[in-house]
Amino acid sequence: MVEPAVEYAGLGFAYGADRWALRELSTTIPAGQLTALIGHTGSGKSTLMELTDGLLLPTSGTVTVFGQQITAATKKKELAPLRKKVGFVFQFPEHQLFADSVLADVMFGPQNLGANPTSAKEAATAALTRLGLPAALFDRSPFELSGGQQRRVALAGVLAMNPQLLILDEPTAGLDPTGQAELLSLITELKAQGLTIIMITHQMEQVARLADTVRVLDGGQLVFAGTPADLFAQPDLLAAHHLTPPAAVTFAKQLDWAAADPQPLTAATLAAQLAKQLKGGTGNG
Amino acid sequence: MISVEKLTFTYPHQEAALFEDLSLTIPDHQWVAIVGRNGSGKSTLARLIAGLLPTPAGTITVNGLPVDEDHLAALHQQLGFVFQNPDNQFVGATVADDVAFGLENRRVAPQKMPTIIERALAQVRMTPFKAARPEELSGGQKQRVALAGALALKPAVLILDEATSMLDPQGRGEVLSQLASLRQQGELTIISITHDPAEVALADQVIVLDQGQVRRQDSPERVLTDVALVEAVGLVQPFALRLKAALQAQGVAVPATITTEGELVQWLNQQLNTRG
Amino acid sequence: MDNRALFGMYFPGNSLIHRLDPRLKMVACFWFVVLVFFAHGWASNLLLIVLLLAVIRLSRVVFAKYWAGVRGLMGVILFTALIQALFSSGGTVYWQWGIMAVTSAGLVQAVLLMLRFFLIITGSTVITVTTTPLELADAIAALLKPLKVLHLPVNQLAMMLSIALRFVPTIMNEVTMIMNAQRARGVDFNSGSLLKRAKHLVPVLIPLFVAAFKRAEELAVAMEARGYDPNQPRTKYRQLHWQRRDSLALAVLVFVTLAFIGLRIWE
Repeated sequence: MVEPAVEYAGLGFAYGADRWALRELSTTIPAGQLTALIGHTGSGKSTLMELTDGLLLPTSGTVTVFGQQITAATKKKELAPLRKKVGFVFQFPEHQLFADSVLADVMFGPQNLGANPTSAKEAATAALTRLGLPAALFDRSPFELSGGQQRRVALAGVLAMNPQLLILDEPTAGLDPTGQAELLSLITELKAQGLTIIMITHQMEQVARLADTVRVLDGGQLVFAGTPADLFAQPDLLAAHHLTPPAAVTFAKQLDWAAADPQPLTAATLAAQLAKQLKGGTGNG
Repeated sequence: MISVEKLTFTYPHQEAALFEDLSLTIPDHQWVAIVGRNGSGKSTLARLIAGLLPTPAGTITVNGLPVDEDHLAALHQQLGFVFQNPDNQFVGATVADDVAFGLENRRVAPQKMPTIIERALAQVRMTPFKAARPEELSGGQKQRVALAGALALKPAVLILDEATSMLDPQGRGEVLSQLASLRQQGELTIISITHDPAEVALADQVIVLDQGQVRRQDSPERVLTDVALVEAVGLVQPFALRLKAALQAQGVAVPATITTEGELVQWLNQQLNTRG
Repeated sequence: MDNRALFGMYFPGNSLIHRLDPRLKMVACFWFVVLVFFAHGWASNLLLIVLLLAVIRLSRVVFAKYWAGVRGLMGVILFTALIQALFSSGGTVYWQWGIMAVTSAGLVQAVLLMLRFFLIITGSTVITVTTTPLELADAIAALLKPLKVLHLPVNQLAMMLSIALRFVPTIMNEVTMIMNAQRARGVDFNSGSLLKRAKHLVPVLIPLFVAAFKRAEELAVAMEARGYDPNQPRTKYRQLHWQRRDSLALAVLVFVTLAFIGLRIWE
């Protein structure tokens, strides 16, 4: 059993008196893994992430992030240490860039957390380098960069705060295929460096390729917690929550062939299994 | 027919020309996908065709109509345009008001509008949302309204500038199936600028733009099976072709003639049944 | 955020007042304010109070909605009334200190002033609680039309107004989003000195302006592509229809005005 990074217990959140966005939610986010969070608009996934970063406080129940418990009674000043642990990259994060230079923008987060200019600059430089942005761009205005570069600057702005848990909301939305592939490999690298990652996504291909574990929300309730393979092996569950399985699963269904366990979720794993079967067949015949 | 002849275009305040002597034709009643890396000029080309950027006279014609200052009104009668950002093209306070916007510009009589709006909304299956406000709609629904707004004006040519790129897979699927059924009716010329392999695969023809030049104008099958080309212009192959490549890498001899998902399924089933 | 809840005022309903033509409602409201300024005696004021109460009753909107409009301006009303009471002269002097004096005339003036405030605020609230912003925009556009003879860009103004209304909710969402993102980057919007708080607005306002300019540019291109030409006449999908009830309401207004003039002469 992997130590949980986040634990939600009986968590509920209501806007106003009785508009519940989340109800009685209990689950964990394992440390050092990539958890995919799936759900349609209004499923409560954004609310859940805002609760995880202390942008909202629970109406009922608790959120425990790396040992720090957040309840309805938590005081505002106790949220600062929480924000140090959690980095939240919103959808289209490049829309939040504002400073005169790339470096100044990335330094903004560390400085808000109390870092002096020297160490903020160090953290910013390290984060930008980690995301493969050349030093020549550091003094440029973020608004002069390409869309893909802007997104990496925004991501660096959060990484510079050195979080243990990184929340990514649709990190590849609006990028072209090359940009998407680059960003996904960056995310894989970040996980390899020990970061716990929660990724909100609609792309089942990304879930199949990257996620260690999946949580599905619908109507403010948790409807699935398990591995991608478990999720995609349940066509009824997928249909009930309007989710489309990855292409490999849909493709394999059309074959006169029962896929082996674990069910292949990507082109590479499906090809490997098919090749084994076909070549094995040749051997027998 | 849309024809571009020896087009040279440079953005103001920029030194290098984006297009130099670019020539191409887009035949009537076909769906043509334009692909290329960011900066290859594909969106600019769409805007030039629609007369949304100043063009050197005499280089572009749409159904015989020269694209220039004097013919803009007539040109906009012919063209429907759907842009990338669902929010930034939604002008009306409600769905019906938004579809009406183009009709109002064309001075359609108010008593004729409700019927036209009904028909356009039915075409994109958005009738139940007639009175909805934009903030109540998903991205895919807003793009369908944009499509209805364009269709209400009965254009000859529909241009989609990365119209599905900001949508989630569900919204993208909705818009694409809408386009597929429009193509089925066979009256429209569709130009779609895209990165999405599924959208490319649906087209009749693909124009590959690279550094301001047409690198290839061909069928989607031939473009998508050309791995070097696909990679060079920043596309990805559709799933069936990626699987085919992965199978070949594993030593399974998939015939080169197989290019679609259906063909690959059929071939694999044959193999599985005979050998299994 | 709900567009209809803009200013948090509209109270959905289907009462007679809700259904009246928004043009009539705006003109009537303006006329009501004019009458309030001409009402000096008790009788004419009483007539206006009765008229307003009748309209409020007909609107079937909970009274709290109207009270909320007055309550927001209570400080200003009381302060103005106090000044009026302390610095007016005439009638019996009840109390005096330097230039300040409480006189019977001053008290009457103060009460009348407060009444005027109540009438004007509540009268305008009738419009905002019974009319959607969209209807208001249509009414304003229609009422501005005669100004065309003065070569005012009436159509462009109407278009600006309707686009502004359309994008209020979108921009509100954007503000929430940007503020959340900057809070996640450690900004605390609710603490620190005034200067520090003002500085915290920079990382919100700059992205907001950048987005607004981009949006404006894209919107302009999209509108052009859909055949919008600000210098050409357009037809209008949304038509305002003058009904019999509007004529009746207008007749009531004329009658009340005549009664008002009668009372003023008698007073």
